[in-house]
Amino acid sequence: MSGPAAAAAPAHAPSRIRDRRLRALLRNRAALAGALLLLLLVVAALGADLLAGHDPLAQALDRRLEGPSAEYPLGTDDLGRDVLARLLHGARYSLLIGGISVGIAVAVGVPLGAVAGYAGGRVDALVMRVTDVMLAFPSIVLAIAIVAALGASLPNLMIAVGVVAVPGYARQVRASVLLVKAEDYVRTVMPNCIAPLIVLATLDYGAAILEAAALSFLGLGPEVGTPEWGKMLAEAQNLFSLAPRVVIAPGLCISAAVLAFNLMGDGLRDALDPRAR
Amino acid sequence: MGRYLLRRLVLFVPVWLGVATLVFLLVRMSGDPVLAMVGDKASPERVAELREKLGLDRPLPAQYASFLGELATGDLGESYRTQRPVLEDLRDYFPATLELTLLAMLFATAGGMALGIAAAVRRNGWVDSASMVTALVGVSVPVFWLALLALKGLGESAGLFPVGGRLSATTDLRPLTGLFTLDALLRGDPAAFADAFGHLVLPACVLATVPAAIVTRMTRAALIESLGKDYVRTARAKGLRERTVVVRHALRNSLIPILTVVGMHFGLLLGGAVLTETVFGWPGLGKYTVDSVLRRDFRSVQGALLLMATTFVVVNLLVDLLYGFLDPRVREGYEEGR
Repeated sequence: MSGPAAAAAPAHAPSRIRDRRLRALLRNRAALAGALLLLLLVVAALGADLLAGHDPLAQALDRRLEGPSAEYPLGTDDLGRDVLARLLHGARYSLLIGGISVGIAVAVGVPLGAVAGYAGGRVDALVMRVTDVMLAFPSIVLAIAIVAALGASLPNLMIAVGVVAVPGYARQVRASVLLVKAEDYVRTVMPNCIAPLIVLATLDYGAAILEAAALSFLGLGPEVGTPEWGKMLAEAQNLFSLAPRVVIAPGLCISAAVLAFNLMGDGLRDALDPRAR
Repeated sequence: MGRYLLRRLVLFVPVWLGVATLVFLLVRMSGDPVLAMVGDKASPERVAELREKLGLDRPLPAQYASFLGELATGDLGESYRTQRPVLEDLRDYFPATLELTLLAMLFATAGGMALGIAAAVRRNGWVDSASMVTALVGVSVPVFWLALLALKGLGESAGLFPVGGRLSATTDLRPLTGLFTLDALLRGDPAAFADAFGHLVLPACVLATVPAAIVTRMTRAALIESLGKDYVRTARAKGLRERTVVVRHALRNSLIPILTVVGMHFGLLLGGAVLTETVFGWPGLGKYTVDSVLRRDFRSVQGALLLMATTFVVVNLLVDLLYGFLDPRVREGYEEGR
């Protein structure tokens, strides 16, 4: 989306350069913010046990819905569980779910697109029609149908989120392969194939976290009590009037995680994709 | 234009058949729906009887053949959950989704364009930065969380909006089109209109957030590009007011990419509607799909998925055609390219 904007303004040369530098700086700042946010998430995920001080599953029924205190910095939920501990462990879930889903999508989509692009002909047509069919569904709807078919569980949720993203990778790689085939330069493989893939995977990582949280929220993911953000939201939704923070906090965490990947993805696109400049 | 239209329509058929096949396979994979219907305690005879009645005892190819046959005659079977033909269910639920998504699209377009124009005109100013941050955050926030906050905070706690369903229990409105706000107007009932609109406005605003963020970014980018064009410089040189230059010259030429983005993101709206409807208890196609999936009501899942995909494909087709109509380069390129 920054493409046409950046390509514009052919007039006033000196001010344009300053402008472009300014814009690049601004963009880098956004990417930097994304990277910092991601770092925060990784620290939360890796250090969840150390940082929390409580077991995210441990219930203290005599301490239900307590406000923030020194012992429970973000208070407790309706079963007396430490909200902070659950949020920190949620980071672990989200990063893993996103990573595995993207991994599945890349592992299936990249070879599929490469084969379609290189083979051409009927193989290509078949792969493209299959992606057409998959793209005929809003992605969350297809993901719901896949989880429903496989049965609601965490592994199936990751499979569904991954499979739904396959057409995106297949088409991207196919397009790159066709381009490389036409140009005959092996040199162009790098910018034309790998770079867009990295951008796609980064943006998709955030999309996968969002989609997984939605499925989990609908009850199509991990089992009851799992400290996963979407599940936490679903289980806390009726507590809003009693303790809004148990509803607000998991949503903020999901937003922050998705934002981190969106910022990084946008920044990477500007930096890596020559066409987007 | 005729050939372009025909080509697009011909491509539509295999995709739709593929959709039907995928729906059939996914639904058949989801375990035994009969057990979900009768429960674990039913006798094996009862299970076998029901399975036979539903045709689930037959081999898959035979089931597939009769599925396609039924589709051809417009028969989607009966939902065991609602005890009604699925087609009738869909006829009731679909207008609710249509009404919600149309209003959300209107909000997203109006809001997104306003924000995008403000950002592009005062480029790099605080309005620009603020709207870009809003747009970035807008696409990152989970819509079901926003829905939950709006419902609980603005609806239930503050009581600013009526919540739950599409009308208050006290409102009596005989549907005509199924779009309740429109029906109320057609029936000349302002109180019913206010009630229907009151129920509609909060979920529609929530649903509009993500597409509004995207429209904002697109409007800004397209307008900045137009503002750098020669014809804008000419218009300025003629001494036209800045407002006229922006609206009549630059914005008009940015409308095609903006409207295309609006159309392209209808799928996002349809997907978002699934979550928004579920949270708000809005009796639309999305909630119907989720409820059917959770209850393993395989006939309604089948029907709902088919309608969802068909709507999505048809809207995308219409956007493509509109795009080809608005921009001759597209259809000419299409015809030359093949």
